[in-house]
Amino acid sequence: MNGILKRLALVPLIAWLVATGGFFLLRLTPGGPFDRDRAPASAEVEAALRAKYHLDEPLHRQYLRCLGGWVVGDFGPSLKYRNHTVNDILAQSLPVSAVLGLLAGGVAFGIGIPVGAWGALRRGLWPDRLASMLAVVGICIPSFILGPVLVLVFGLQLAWLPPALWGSWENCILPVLALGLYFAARVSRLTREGMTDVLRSPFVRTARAKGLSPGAIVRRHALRGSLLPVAAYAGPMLADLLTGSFIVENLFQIPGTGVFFVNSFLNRDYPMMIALAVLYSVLLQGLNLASDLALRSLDPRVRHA
Amino acid sequence: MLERVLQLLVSWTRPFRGDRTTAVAFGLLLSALLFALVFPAFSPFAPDATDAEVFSPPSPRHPLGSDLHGRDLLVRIAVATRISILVGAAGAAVSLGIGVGWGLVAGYFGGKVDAWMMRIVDLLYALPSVVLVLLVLNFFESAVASRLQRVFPDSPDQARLILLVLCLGGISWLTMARIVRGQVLSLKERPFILASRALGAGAGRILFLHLLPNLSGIILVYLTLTVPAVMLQESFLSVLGLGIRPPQASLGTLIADGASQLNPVRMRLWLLVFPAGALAGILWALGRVGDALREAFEPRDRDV
Repeated sequence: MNGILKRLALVPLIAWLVATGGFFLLRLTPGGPFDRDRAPASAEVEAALRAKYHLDEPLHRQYLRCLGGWVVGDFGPSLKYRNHTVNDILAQSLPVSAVLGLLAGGVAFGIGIPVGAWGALRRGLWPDRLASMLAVVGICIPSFILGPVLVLVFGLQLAWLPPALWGSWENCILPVLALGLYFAARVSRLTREGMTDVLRSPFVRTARAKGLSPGAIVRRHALRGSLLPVAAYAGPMLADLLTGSFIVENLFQIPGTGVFFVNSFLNRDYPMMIALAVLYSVLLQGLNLASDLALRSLDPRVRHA
Repeated sequence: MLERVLQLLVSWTRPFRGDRTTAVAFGLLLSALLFALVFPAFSPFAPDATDAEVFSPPSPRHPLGSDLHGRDLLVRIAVATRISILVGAAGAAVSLGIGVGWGLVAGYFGGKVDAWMMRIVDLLYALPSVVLVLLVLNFFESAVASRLQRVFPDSPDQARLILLVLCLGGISWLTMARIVRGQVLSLKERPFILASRALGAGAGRILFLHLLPNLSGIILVYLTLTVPAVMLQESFLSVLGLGIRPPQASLGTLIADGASQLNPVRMRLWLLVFPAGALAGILWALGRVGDALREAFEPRDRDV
């Protein structure tokens, strides 16, 4: 319990470190928000813009100004989309990415766990071989290969599903698969390893010896323990999925957060960049904590340690 | 001579005997390496040579077809494989250096040192890696490029490649550090370490002469798993246009080019399928060999 409180206390500290580090590193990198193709019409306009966004103040003043905003959760105006605040943009795009990410996570668990468990129960037989082979193929085909292929086959050739855009449930299927199948493959391998370990342990042998049916052994005894590796992996996986994927969102023209991770840096949109880094780090820590809590409830040994 | 070389190659396969899949993976890996290193010298086309036969599908002249500029895809895949494997191996080597050093020191000295060093690892885990790579590239690229230009005035610009390797190594050492630290924590209480400490051995001697050799197995295993991970990261960045730059190409760049040629009017599938197949095949082979090594070093996982 104490450990959890301690780690919760660390979350704002790490978020502050990430934001501060991001603030100064971004200012030090060459280039600025009003460079090259982003240059305003004239020097006067640029000076006015700099004054408006307080970029002409000394750095420590700017930092304190930003810090004041961060404390109340306000990341300020976007330097690229000048009529919007960063919070507005995130409020619009994050739900889209989160829905996409949750569905992909659902695919990962929904396919990965049963397939992995099935493989472990038939270890060495053809179902296991087939499942392992599919998992290996899934892990070796990243989303930037799978995505275009899915679009080509189901979106363009067969024309069963819309090849891009976002809005109706039909739009979800292809991006969710492009994003989720890789993770489904990883989850299935983790489940298989966990299940194999558990099936060899003494308490399962005891359960078998007292005459429990194989199905009951899996449901009542083995499944819980075999999900430990999956629970440990779920935290980082969901943090990646929920904040959106640049590749998939770009390919399917989905208005999510993932595209901003790269674009905001290329545009030197400082406030956006900092907000995204903080968002990711807070989400990752929160989900890691949640996945540790899940580990505790699944494994009595961790609970008492 | 040839016989000796063959004997050596055969002896390398010893850990994989009796496991046909792993033997196939190992063979695939060796032939991919050989193909990438040797083939460009014998190819009738230079990797950058353009040709009037633009977008030729696979044909006797271009076995895997040609691209937008009429460049031969087969030789381009060979050269790209070279770059991808180079980035993967060098990046993994960087992550090996940092990760092993970090884990050894944190695990051996323990206490406050350990707590702080691992806190830093946690902090770095919390950063999105794309952001980190972008920052470093922007920070240092022009400086490194101009310095390289001064030292090697004639060579082409390799600053991007070098920084990419350093960055990818710099973000993938975290897991290595955790694993090494965990192992050191348990090893350092073993009698042989206690004995050498009682005999007055210094920290450096214990770390490098006693602990490191005992860690070599697990380090080797995670190294073989880091290489494909780094290759995958690199191809991700190249697909985003942030990795290897033309005229150089990695498998990731070729895949990105191929994906951009997909449209409903004209299908030039070969431009996507062959580079993607090459990448997937190499990733699979590396992963399989790594898994086989892990099973060899961790007997717990073997079938009973």
